[in-house]
Amino acid sequence: MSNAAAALSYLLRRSLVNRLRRQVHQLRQPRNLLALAAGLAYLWLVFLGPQRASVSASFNSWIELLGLAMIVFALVRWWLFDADHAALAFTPAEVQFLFPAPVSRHGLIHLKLVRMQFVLLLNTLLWTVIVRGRFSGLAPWLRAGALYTLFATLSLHRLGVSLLRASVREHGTAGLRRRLVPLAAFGIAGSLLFVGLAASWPSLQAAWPEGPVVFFAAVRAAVERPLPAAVLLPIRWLLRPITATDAAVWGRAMVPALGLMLAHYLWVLRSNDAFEEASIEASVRRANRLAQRRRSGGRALEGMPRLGRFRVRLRPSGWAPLAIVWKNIMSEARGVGFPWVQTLLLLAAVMIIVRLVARGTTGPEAVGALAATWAALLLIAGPQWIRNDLRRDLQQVDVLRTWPLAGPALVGAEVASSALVLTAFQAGLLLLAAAGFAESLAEQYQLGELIGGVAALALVLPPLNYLALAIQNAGALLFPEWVRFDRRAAGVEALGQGVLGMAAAFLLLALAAIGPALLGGGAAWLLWERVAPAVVLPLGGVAAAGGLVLEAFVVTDWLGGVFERFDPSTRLME
Amino acid sequence: MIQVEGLSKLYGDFPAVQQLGFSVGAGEVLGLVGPNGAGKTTTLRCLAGIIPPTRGGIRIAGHDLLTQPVAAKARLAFVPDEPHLFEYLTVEEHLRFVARLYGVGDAETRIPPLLEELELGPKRQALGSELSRGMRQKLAIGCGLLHQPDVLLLDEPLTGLDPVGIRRMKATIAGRAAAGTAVVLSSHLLPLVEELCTRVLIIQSGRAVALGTMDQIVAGRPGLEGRGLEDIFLALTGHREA
Repeated sequence: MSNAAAALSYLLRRSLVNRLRRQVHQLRQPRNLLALAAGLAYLWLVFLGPQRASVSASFNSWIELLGLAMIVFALVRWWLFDADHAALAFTPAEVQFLFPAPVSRHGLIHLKLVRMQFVLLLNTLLWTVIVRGRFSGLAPWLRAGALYTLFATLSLHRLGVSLLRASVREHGTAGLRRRLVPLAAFGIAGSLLFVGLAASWPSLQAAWPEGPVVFFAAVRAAVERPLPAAVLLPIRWLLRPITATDAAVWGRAMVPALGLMLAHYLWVLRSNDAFEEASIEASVRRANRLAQRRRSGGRALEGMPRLGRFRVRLRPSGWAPLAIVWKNIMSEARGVGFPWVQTLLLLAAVMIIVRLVARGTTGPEAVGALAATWAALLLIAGPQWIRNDLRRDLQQVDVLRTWPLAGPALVGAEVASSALVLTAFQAGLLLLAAAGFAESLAEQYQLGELIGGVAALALVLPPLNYLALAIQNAGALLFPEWVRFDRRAAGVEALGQGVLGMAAAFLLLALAAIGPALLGGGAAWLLWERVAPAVVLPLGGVAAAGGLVLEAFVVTDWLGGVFERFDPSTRLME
Repeated sequence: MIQVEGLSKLYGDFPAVQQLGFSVGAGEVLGLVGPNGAGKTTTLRCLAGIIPPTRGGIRIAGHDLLTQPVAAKARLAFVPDEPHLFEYLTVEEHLRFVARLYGVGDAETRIPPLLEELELGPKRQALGSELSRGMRQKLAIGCGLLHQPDVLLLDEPLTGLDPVGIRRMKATIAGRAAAGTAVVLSSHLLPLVEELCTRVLIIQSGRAVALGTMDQIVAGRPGLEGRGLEDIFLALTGHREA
């Protein structure tokens, strides 16, 4: 074994051992062990729970057709749009240590291939469990072999395309000439497929108005015509072992699939032109994306933050905690660009179009029901989704701790930042829901009752959202190790942490809502016969909101104390 | 301005800082030096109120940092070795944000000259994420200086600055001290410490090895007379090169 190969082997071995050792070490803490148990229980429930019935042969053919379409779509993206930059990416440490080192390009490519194995094996395991019981008569390990062959061949193809594009970019016409054979093969195959499918265009057009079943049958007939079938044959070679019904069929189907995988391996190995520049570019792009994801508390961002046109000037004097709310709103606007506003505008546009085009139908009510459902779901999912608070700022806890603010004021401002955004989004959705159901609401209720209902909602929603977000922030303060700042959440343990966190947050919110609900409901019940509904509903809202505000005040005060006693040197270092 | 008594900080069983005691008066610049892992940054983070000490007391401008943290923090500024900025705020917005937090009513008149002093004028509309390492360091320092603190805690303040920036920063630190600010400066750049600091605190393994002016430190240590801070540091921290 050469020095370089030995060093790369050492790197992979030690990285794996140290990673496992670290994970085992973390399990010494009961909370991590609990998280692992919860994660395993969740996986068992989802994947190994009650066996699902196997499906019909016709369903299998639909699955094969879907797989075919997805693979063709992926290939077109990789070849035409250079959509997958990550294929060539190395970690920053690999770039720093390996690129200047006496390691051949073959060595680097092999490192990449070995690194890919972890993801491939994980995907194989996952899909083997997912499709168990779907196709009868084949041992799971044979199915796993078929799935691995598919995933490995696609990964090799993606890497090969990335290397080809890098070569063309770096060597221009010379690179193009060197890669003429695969380029020509893809061009010819693409053209033949296009011509073959174009011939079926009239039958597809005729099938469209007949409904989805007839249309998909026409699509299947189109891809089974001689020309498209010939072009798509290599993809079918990869898919057939997965849908094989017994070991003999599987064995015969695996021969061409393995041949195709071997051909891809040889193709990638021959692609040893200079790719370092493209690789570094991809590595930097990936590192930036991961860093942004970490800074944004787990939310994926596109590109760098933009200054944009959204500017609100902060007065230097005034109530200091407002500065934190302002900072967090600015961060939301410049980081992710208020995706919820765009969502609301889109829904509003759909609502207007549906109202204009489908007047007199149930179309507007369908859009309204969608908006109302979403608003309700946000009560549970919103606090997980909108995280522009302590969960993001704890990464800069050193800065936060130097601010001359009392703990409750600081925590309150952080929680209020997210509560404002969440409430505004829900209010927009409820407004759209009301627009969708405008006619039926007007028929069933009087104006005073509607105004009363809206007032009750307006009173209850903000403190309820605040409380839900305070629970999430309490989780971040009490279990900061479970809030992933510096690495991507991965593994069964992280999954378990998420499951436990969600369950605990939901339970706590439900418990916290009982008292205010009884207060509000009780007030409304007592007054129902004596006062008009237009007044009862807001009064009930006031009682419920009062209870929620009181709870929010107590929780904020307690959390402020926790923040003041929070020792980042011990909590975030664990 | 700064009074530290019996300061200890333990990470689990590991003592990062042990029984430190010192004071820094108005206009004084205390140099905090020590080998890597000696406890310099932990000491500064305790002084800034970022981490609570395990034992001991800290008073900032007469306020107990543990019992009156808000009043104490309002009088101090901490500039860490790695500047942490909000990537979505511009340079000017960072200063306005800090002004609001510290209640700097006349920030409108303070911000322009501060931006000029730190050579950040042309970058006032740049986002934190668009700044170079040196610019980020300058902005972090500017945020620390805006509310004219009585106590200034600096952890490796010259990291990432160009020669012009270094010269300006040294002038800024000396100027603030001359105006009555108590400064604690932690740095491995011993010539800088020797040039700017009125007194030096050398720590090793979390304990004070020496504290005082250069003359006070060499007094009673005949072998060190006439030597520079580098030699004194190496001798007191037990390095053979001394």
